[in-house]
Amino acid sequence: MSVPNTLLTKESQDKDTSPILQVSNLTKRFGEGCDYCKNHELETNLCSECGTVTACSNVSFELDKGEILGVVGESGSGKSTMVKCLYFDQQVTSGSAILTDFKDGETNIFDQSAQMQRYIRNYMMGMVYQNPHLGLKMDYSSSGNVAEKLISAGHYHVGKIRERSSELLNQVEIPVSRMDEQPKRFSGGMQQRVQISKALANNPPLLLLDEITTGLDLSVQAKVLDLIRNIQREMQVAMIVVSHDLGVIRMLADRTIVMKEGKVVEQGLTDQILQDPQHSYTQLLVHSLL
Amino acid sequence: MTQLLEIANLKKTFKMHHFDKEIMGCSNVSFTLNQGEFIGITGKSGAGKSTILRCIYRTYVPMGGNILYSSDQYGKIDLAQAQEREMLAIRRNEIGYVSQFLRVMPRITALEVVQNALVEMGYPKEKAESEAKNMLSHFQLAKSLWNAYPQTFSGGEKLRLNLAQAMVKKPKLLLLDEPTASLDDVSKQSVKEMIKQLKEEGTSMLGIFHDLTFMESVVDQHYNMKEGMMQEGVKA
Repeated sequence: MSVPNTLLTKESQDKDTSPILQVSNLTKRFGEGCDYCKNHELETNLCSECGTVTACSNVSFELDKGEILGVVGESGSGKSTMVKCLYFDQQVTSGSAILTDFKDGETNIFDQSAQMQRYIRNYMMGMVYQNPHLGLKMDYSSSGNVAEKLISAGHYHVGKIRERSSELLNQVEIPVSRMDEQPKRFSGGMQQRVQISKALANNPPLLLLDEITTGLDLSVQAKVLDLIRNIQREMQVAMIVVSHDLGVIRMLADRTIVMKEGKVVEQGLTDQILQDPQHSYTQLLVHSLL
Repeated sequence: MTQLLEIANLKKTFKMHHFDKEIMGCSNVSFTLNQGEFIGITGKSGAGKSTILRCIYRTYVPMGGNILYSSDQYGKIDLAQAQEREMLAIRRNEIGYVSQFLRVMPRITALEVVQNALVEMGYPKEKAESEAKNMLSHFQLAKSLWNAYPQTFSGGEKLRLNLAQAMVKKPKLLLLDEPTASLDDVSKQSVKEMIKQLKEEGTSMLGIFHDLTFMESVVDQHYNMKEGMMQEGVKA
């Protein structure tokens, strides 16, 4: 289940207080960019000169072991782009991210080869997308979906893969009798739970969750959130939870960053963000809460 | 006596960007809390009492001044400037906060609420559970409610749960925002007993009260607040 020792430092496993992820100045532009948008503070994320969209602009934060970091902001603020960059679904324009467990925490993971990035993703990260279609193969069996992640993380014993898949699916309350069914036959909430078990398959120290409860009804949303909370408590997985739902953030996150137009406009303890927001945008957001 | 908390010129204002207004929370607040001491704060609604507690707990971001706290983990640290990570650790292990309103997570039982406070500090589950049960019995929360969700509780039950959650940690510093607001006399008595017990074990406390008789029976000295300013201290 674990990462080969060659790439792990023993010390990094003991250090509880050091961050497991450090992101510095992560920037992602869609478009070529021009001198104007590269060198000026823009009002919006769309450059008036060249039409380039700066989806993430100098985003920096740290994530501690076992911590949940909330990311809030309106649609188009760059939240999803940020996690997609971290999961290498998108290529960053500039900036760095350091995983403490990877090569002694001295390497920018964005500079790694595609092969190495695949390794990081398979062994050290899990991702749950808002849209289950992005995270699952709908025509494969659910157990096959989980197995896919296990195989890419270096597990080849069919019996053991089966055993682990049923254990994981059981953990997210997918009945064992339905583990070989295709996710397309499942409800949205069940699909989301299959995605979560797939993301957890390789015991990742870092889990990225992108709007995972959006579009689910309340009771199903509750089940998914309870599951996330249990995973955090039992397994000490660090998570980045992206959501525009402040209720979800309040329930899950210790710390929160607020994004607008690709920039981090405020960060702080979650209760502080919600009760004493500093930035005008955060105030608007919090005061719009029902 | 050793000083646990030294607050100097604490200032808090709220800038409301959309109304282009600044609202005063408190200003020029200075006082010292010694180890094992209990200071009470009184004053009208809106005088800025809760603002002080929330600044100490960093639910509010202080705008000026210092909050020097002697932490077990970090030594002398200014809570007005401390990093979020330090603040989270201090909240988890050293400072308890009882707010006027219990904010509970959905679908977590009363027992789990209290138990989790200890589990977060690193207690083994069984030990945390037995300590939590002791605390809930002390505050006379009916056993039938232990495995129920607190959303359905009455005001007094919620408050007692809130007290149990903060006090079970035997924190170094305990912040109490009207800890007896909706309690009957029997419950008040159990709060008083627990305050005495914690004080004997070395917990320092800062509390906001409207019930002056109760306050005078527990505090060592008290301050009155008016329009965000603190007035002369009175030794109890």
